[in-house]
Amino acid sequence: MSLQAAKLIVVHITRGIFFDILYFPIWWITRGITSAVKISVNWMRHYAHRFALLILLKNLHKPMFGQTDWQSRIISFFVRLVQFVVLTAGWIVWCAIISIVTLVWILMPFFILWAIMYQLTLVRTPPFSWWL
Amino acid sequence: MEAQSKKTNVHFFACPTCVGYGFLVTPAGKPITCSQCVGKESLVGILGGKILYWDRPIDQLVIFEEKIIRTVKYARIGILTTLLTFGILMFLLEFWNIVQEGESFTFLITRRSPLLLIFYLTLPIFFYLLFVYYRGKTVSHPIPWRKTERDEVIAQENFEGATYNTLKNNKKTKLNVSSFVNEEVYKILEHAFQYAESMRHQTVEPLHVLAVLLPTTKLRLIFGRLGIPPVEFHKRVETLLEKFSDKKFQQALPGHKWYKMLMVAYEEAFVGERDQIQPQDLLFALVKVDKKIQDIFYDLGVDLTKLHHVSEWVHAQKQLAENVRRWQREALLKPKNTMNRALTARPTRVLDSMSQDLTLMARTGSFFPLINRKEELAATFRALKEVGGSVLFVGNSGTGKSAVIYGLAERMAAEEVPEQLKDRRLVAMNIGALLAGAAGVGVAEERMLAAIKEITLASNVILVIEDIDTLFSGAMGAAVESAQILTDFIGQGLMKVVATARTEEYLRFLQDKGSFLRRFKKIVVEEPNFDLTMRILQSRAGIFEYRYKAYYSYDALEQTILLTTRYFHERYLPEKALDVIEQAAIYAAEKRGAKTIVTKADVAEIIAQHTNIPVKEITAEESEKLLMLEEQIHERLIDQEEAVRSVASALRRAREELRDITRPIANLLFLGPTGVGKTELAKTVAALYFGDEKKMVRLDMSEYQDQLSIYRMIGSPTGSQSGGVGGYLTEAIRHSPFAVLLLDEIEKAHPDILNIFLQVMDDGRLTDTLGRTIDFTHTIIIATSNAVAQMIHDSVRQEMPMEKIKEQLIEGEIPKYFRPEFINRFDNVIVFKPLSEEDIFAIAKLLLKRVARDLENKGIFFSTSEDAVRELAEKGFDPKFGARPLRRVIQNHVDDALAKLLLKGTLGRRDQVILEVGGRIRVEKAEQLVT
Repeated sequence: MSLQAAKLIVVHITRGIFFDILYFPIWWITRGITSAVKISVNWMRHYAHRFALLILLKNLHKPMFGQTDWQSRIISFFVRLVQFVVLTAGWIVWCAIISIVTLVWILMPFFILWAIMYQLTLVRTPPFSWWL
Repeated sequence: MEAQSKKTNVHFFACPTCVGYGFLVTPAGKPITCSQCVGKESLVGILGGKILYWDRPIDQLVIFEEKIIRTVKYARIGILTTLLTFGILMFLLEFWNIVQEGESFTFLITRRSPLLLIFYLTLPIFFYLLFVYYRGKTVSHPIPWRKTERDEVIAQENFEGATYNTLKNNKKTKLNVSSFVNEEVYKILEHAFQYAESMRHQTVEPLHVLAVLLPTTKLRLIFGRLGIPPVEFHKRVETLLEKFSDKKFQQALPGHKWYKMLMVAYEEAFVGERDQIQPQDLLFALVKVDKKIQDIFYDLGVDLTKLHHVSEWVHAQKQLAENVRRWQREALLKPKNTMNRALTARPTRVLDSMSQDLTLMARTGSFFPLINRKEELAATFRALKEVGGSVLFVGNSGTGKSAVIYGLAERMAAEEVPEQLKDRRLVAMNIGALLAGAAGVGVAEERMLAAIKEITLASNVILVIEDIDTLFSGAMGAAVESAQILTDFIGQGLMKVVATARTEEYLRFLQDKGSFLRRFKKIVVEEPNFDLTMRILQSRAGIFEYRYKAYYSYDALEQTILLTTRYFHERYLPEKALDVIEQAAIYAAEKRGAKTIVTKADVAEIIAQHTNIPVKEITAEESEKLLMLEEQIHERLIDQEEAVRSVASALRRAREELRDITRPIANLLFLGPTGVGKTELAKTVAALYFGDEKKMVRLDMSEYQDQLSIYRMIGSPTGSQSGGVGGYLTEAIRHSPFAVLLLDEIEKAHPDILNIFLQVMDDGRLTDTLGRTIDFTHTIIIATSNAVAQMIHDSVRQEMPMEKIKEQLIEGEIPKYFRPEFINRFDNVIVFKPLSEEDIFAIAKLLLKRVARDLENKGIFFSTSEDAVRELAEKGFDPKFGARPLRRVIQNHVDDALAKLLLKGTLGRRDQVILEVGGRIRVEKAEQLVT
């Protein structure tokens, strides 16, 4: 029994190494990237909803607080415009942050690989050195 | 060979040689692989165009291998995690070094050091572990229920004329069920297999799986709800299992039921729209496939429907909580005040002072989630999308009109509504608050106008008015003008309104207001059916369980729905059921302490308290009582054997619920001379069956001899002077639907009135002039008549036997007075004999017993001699008038004398009064204790 067990153990460990651990990078490049992108897009959409950008855009011309005299209309239009611009700017900033985070996430393996090679003196420049 | 299971749509085909087992057993008891199918796919099933098979062997070797795989996997993860931790430590060390040296942090990347090398080498492990986690959460190979329409799959009937061999060789449409099994289920299967091995059973059966499932928490929850005693159940399973013991046991192998079970489990998961086969699917499959298991459950009162419902209950609670959380998350984004997100609204101060903002309340989670009611909500959305479109919910009170509105508020808060309803407030106007503090003329009207102005300007308000009929019914009192203003505005379509009205009030006050109603889409909120009510009860059960510390069994909920449907006619589901289960929980907790289980009996007790009807399951002593009904009746009534027997049988049938519930409990016709006990028997029935002699509605038919008197019975028609008022009969039964209906001297009634009773006796229902249906199915109708008294007297004098008398009556006399279809409606025509002298003697004794009882209340003992009684009986005997003369005699001779003595003060406590022959009354004074 123990010989058989040992055989099985060896078989499964090798299986584990090949099919699991070596599959991982492949998965990262294919599925990993797509799901990361999906998540970040959803995140951005969620923030657009939170800032009510679409609603603001649609209501740009509607008078605020129901005040319909021409002075209020002008004021309301400008206020809305400013609001819209500011919020959109804020959203864009958020999107940028999200994109950077996603990019870093995706590029992580490359960074690590490079760092390892650098540590082993296989390459001369440290990873992303131009960035520093 | 084809085998088709009744409760599943899977068609099974088994290998003809081994009948699906995959192996044969030699006489020596050794199992050998089947030659034809080679042990692979020995049993296949067809479901919706796909061939199902199971291809994952389970034996000691495989289990062992699985164990090793698992161990290796955990070891791998463990080792990697340790390495990762080590790497992180190295990183931190380097970080510390850099800090010590005071260098910039970029050195973490630019410096070359063994610590950093180790860190970077182990960093990928972090991502790998994430990958493993992510892979564990998602199902890579889900059951393909999303791709095909469910019913389409179940109904598909390909493979006409297929045989096992053709199916096995068909490579294209095969589906390996084992690839859809989740980890938990697989472990259960392995466990079952090992259990069978340890018990030395040749075949692994679904029973082993059941035995293994029993200790799991989920199953125990389900059993708890079903009220199945676990120990009892376990014993039965064990008893069945013992039969499988095999002395020639070599190794355990799965039998054909095993494969069937797995395929049916697949079907269950498919139909339930699950991505993998889960333990609950296994449970249902077990019950469907193995008749012995079905029997165990059936013995304990559980069938498949109940099992499904309870399983749904156990799983629904999680789903409900998730839904609520989702809505709350969304609702947080809505503004906290009255402004909408587009900032186009206006503040509505006056309106706020006399209303409640339902969307704000929904935002804070004040409402209980609405269960189902999808059509009502869809219709509401459709109606509100129109400009100026309004909705009117009509339904009986308690059916859930307000609940639908709260559900609407929740969806508006979470913005899960059509465009036209987004970003709006749902505001419930409170007419009472309008009047509060509105002293002075015109103040209330001013307020109303101001509120309306605000609403129209704000443009983001949908007004809710509950019981909108009050605006028209004149119940407003001082607010009549305000109501007028409001209705005018609504009539002009200037605002969206969601209103409710009860059915009765709608019919009375709103139906004819055409110009007003024009704006509203009428949506009827019906009483929910059994399934929906069950779900509603299940969803609320949690709160009551928490509050009152009692747990509901499924039976209790089911019984609540059934009994409230049957007995509570004035109220509607789900309100009446919710009320009852709440009271049942309180009752159970009080009676048996905390953490008790609310059972059917508790529910029955609550219902019995409300209705005074013995709805409890018949206890042993009560069944004894029922079998001795005749004796009990005879305690009050003398002779009339046949009548007593008939009545007793009817009552027994009714109590055991072996009767047609669409008719009254019993329709009986009592014929006979006056004073022989007809009314007395009716009173006795009321006392014995309904618990009180007074539970009797008595109609003297001689008062209803003309045609117009029908209105006195069922109520005058609306529009007439006294219109809108109920009739004597309909109101009486409406208020007390559990009673004896006694119709005296029915031959005197007008034929039109008899027609009414035709319907009542057949259908158990009567509609009064207000359009309400009065339920007679819980009454006992007894009609009496003296019409044929003379004929009975003469026949008895001629010493004709009762049978013959009855025959003659039915054929000759009765048709003279009643139409044949009327007589036909009676369950029994009972002929009462005139009383004989012996009968009168016995009655005299009974009546004197009553006198004795009355005197005993005063502490005085009363007795009579036999001769004295006989004397009275003789005096009171007149066959023509029955026992009434006797009563007069006793009154004159006994009661009067006793009254005189009492008034004179001659009688004291503990004295003895003896009635003697000749009407003399002797008093034996008691011994004086005090001088």
